[in-house]
Amino acid sequence: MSSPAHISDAKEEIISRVADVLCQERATATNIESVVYKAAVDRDAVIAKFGSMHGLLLEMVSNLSDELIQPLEQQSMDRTMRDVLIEFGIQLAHTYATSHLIALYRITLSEATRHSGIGRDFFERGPARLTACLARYFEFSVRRFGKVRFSDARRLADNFLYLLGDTLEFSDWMTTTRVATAKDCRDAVIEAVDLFYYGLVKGEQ
Amino acid sequence: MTALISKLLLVSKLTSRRHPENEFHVTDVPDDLAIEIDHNDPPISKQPAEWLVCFVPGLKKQWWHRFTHPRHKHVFALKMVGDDQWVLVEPWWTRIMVTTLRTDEAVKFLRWGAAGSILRVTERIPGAGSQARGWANCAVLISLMLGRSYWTWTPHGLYKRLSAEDGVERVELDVFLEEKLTSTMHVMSEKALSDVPTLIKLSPEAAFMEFGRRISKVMFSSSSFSFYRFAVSEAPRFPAAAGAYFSHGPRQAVDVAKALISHFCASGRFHECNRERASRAFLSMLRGNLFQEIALGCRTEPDEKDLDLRIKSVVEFFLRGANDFVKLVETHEIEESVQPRQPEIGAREQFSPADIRLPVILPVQQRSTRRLMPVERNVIRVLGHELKTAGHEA
Repeated sequence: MSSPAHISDAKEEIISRVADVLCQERATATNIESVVYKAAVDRDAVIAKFGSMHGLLLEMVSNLSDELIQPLEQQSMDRTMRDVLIEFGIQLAHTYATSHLIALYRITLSEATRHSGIGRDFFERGPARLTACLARYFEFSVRRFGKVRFSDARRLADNFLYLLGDTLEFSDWMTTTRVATAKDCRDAVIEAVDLFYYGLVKGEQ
Repeated sequence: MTALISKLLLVSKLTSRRHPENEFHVTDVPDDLAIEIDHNDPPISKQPAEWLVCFVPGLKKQWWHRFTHPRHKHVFALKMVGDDQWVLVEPWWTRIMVTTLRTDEAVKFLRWGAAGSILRVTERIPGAGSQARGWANCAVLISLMLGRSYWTWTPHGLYKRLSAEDGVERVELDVFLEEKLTSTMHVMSEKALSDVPTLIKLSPEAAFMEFGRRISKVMFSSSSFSFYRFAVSEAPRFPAAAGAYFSHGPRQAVDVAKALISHFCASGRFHECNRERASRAFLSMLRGNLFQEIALGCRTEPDEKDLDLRIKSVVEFFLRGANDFVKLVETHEIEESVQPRQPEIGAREQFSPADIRLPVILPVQQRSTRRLMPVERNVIRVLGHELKTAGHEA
């Protein structure tokens, strides 16, 4: 019988191989089965380790979310909220631009028409989880100064998350393999955080 | 004799009361219903519709496939009945599937069609087919539906007969979808954005609120989700059609948002900003999690009241940021740093945002107050560090 460590290693190996193919084919992948086949991963091994192909896809989404929320989870007192939001934003922009997230999203959206429930699971492990973590971070930022619970945190988190990420950029990703430079990403994120802090109207600071 | 004549007259009166056109009158059907039929007998008249008839290879192996054409083993038909509504007629072994589909669903059938052949065929009314043809396989049923009288029992046989007709065209799916997406998105954008220039006469709040309402009305419609799903999931296969969706749909909305932002920047009411990014950010926030939930099939479209509250919140956030929340956090962050970071407070006292050196070292486009704030913060941090080091050395 395999030990938990063995199972975990095998899972990581599968995820890593599938992620590599998805990164290479981020503009064209539309089906998880064909990606698994291209990654030369045994279908039965996927079923054994993840329960199903959907299980594999959802675990990959969870792993990406785990990485993205790291800056928000380290609720340290000696960093300003601005610094934390910038770090989170850069991580998010980098993930959109270079990871297999977009390919996973495209596959899920195509699958969602079959009403298999994968759309809901993707949403809960991806955008909903990020929103919830951001909201918790905003609540923490207020609570750390002894203030009462902040009621609008979720709405604020939703706005900030989409201020950073734009699905319209699908059009860029489809037509070009151009990857935004680190400086582009950083500039865009700082601008988004500025907008979050002060808005566009003059005289509101 | 008189009685007989009266009886005959009565019969003639009865006969003459019948509608002259209603010679096949059925006794159980009321006259007023029976006469409301057109010359082909249905209660309403319809123009012949155009069908996309798809001759396709099998998706799963069947024993009878060996007797049929390699790419024309089955036939079904689709027709558009609205911008985002299609009717599918697909004969199965066990039933005839007649159902309505959205565009993103119809494309899955059309892709199957493109693996074989797709013909654009106009149906015939009343047609020349016959129910007495027997053996109701897919080819016979589709031929009957189109009103054709062809004596053929295979999909490929029907394909050959239809292809030989005048007016029947072969459909190239990528071209067809690009044209369809271009025209539909153009109409949708025109409807939502046509008189947007009038918005510049309003205040920023009112202008973005109205713009947000118009865009959201289109963006959260069921057809918009259908086209979005198509554009994202089919982009690798139909890049031109997906490109048409983005450039004639969301791109138009970004351009209008950009024009509004430029107007308010020029009139001095907005800070200078990257207008492209700010426009995308506004539209992205309008979509938010709600859009993703609907696109991924987790929930249905919101009602108008919910949508309005949401637009209000996004506009408020876009124009003023998370103002009260940020002020609260920033104030406390500064207060909290007073004790352990005394040198930074000293630095803040030494430095003022009006410091004449700062505008000189910044490019012209970055000299807005909002741009200066992070720079100012950095300067304070550096000065604070220098003061701290100087203090230690002393």
